[in-house]
Amino acid sequence: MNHPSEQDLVLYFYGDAPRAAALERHLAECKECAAEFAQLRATLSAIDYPVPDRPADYEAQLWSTLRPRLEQSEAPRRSAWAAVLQPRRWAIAGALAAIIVGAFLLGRISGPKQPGSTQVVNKQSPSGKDRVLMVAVGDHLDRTEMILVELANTRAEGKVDISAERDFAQTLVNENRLYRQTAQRDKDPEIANVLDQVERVLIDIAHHPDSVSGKELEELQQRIESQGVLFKVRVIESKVKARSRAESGKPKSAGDARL
Amino acid sequence: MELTDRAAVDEVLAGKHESFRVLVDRHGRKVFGLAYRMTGNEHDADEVVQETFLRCYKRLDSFEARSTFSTWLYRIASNCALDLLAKRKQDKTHIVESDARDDDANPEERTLDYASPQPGPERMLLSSELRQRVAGAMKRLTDVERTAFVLRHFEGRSITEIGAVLKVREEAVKNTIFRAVKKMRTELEPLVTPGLRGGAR
Repeated sequence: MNHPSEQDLVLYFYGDAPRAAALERHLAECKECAAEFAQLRATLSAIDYPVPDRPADYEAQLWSTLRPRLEQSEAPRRSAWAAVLQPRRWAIAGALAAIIVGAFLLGRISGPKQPGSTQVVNKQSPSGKDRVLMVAVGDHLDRTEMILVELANTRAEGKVDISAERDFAQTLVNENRLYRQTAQRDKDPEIANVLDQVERVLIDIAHHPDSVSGKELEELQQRIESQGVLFKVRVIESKVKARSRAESGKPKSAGDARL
Repeated sequence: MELTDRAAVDEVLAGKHESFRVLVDRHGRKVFGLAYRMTGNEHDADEVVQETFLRCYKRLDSFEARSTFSTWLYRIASNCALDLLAKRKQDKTHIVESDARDDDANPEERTLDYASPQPGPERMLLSSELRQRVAGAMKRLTDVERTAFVLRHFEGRSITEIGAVLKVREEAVKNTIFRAVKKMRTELEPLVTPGLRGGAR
């Protein structure tokens, strides 16, 4: 490699050099650069700015000064969003969705068949399984709506950490795929279409890195907004919930036992 | 069993406000160290520590599982220190080396009167002249340069973390650290020879 710049050597000293191995080899071979680095290292190693000792009861003193000030300020509470965005809960929700859909599909395959009329039967006399599915889809849309709202409300400034939203979007993508396939199989184009759009948006979010620049976030927000996904999700969500309420009023079928 | 930071945060958010003390006890000294190196005097460092924990408490609900608590707290502390420095110096954030000494006459520049640190037993190795030079050189850094330098050199924080504190790209952080190092070298190089401290790092 060429002789490293002074900045390269500073980065190397702090362990931030991008090509550290090459630089190290160069230092082993080039006396001039090795001498320059030795000088830099000697100087930087000599820079100390010791912090004066604190008394042994420093923490107690600090707490006694802080406490009245904390009491005066509004007590922090876990916000509704934060609760929703707990990763573990999301993982559980995703797993539950998979189980529900799995059980639903299994019921379809292993349940009593009436050749040529499966869809008709399901459409005309919705079983308890459909109700459970509608409730699950409603919950899924709920969570999707929350993540879209959360992203839309994140301020696009500087570097924005969206790793939490990204991770939740990844969970939701899998969940969404199951529901979309089920809706397609059920010939329910309204739900299937919205879920199809939702899936594309979720994949878009899921493909982002941990943090994005303000500009990237703004572009993402615009993509979501331009497709009107949030609005469609809300409309279909209310329909799905209305359907699940309607189903709940009907007598349960024997198929419920499997769920 | 001792509460983890996260568990303590959860308890506070669930209404057990006394659990905040766990966080103060655990991180108070470290925050003081950072604040002292950034502001250069104990009085201001104490103020930064108080403000840091106050802000941290008020914003505790925005702390999510995105980073460790200490990284989050350091970010708040660095910003509190930067705010205090800005308040003290008003708009004069950039100190030109040549007129830095004139600034001493300005009471608003009090924070920049970097105290020469008290020598502890292990510090006797550092000559008093070197200590004063370090203090002088730190004083002549801009607030942003000092923040980046303190976080990288003394606190061992990553370039990414420093970028998050300063709200700039990583490349900009690297440039800022380099500018700081260059200024420190100019001030200190005459006192240091490789033979003196040139051992392996």
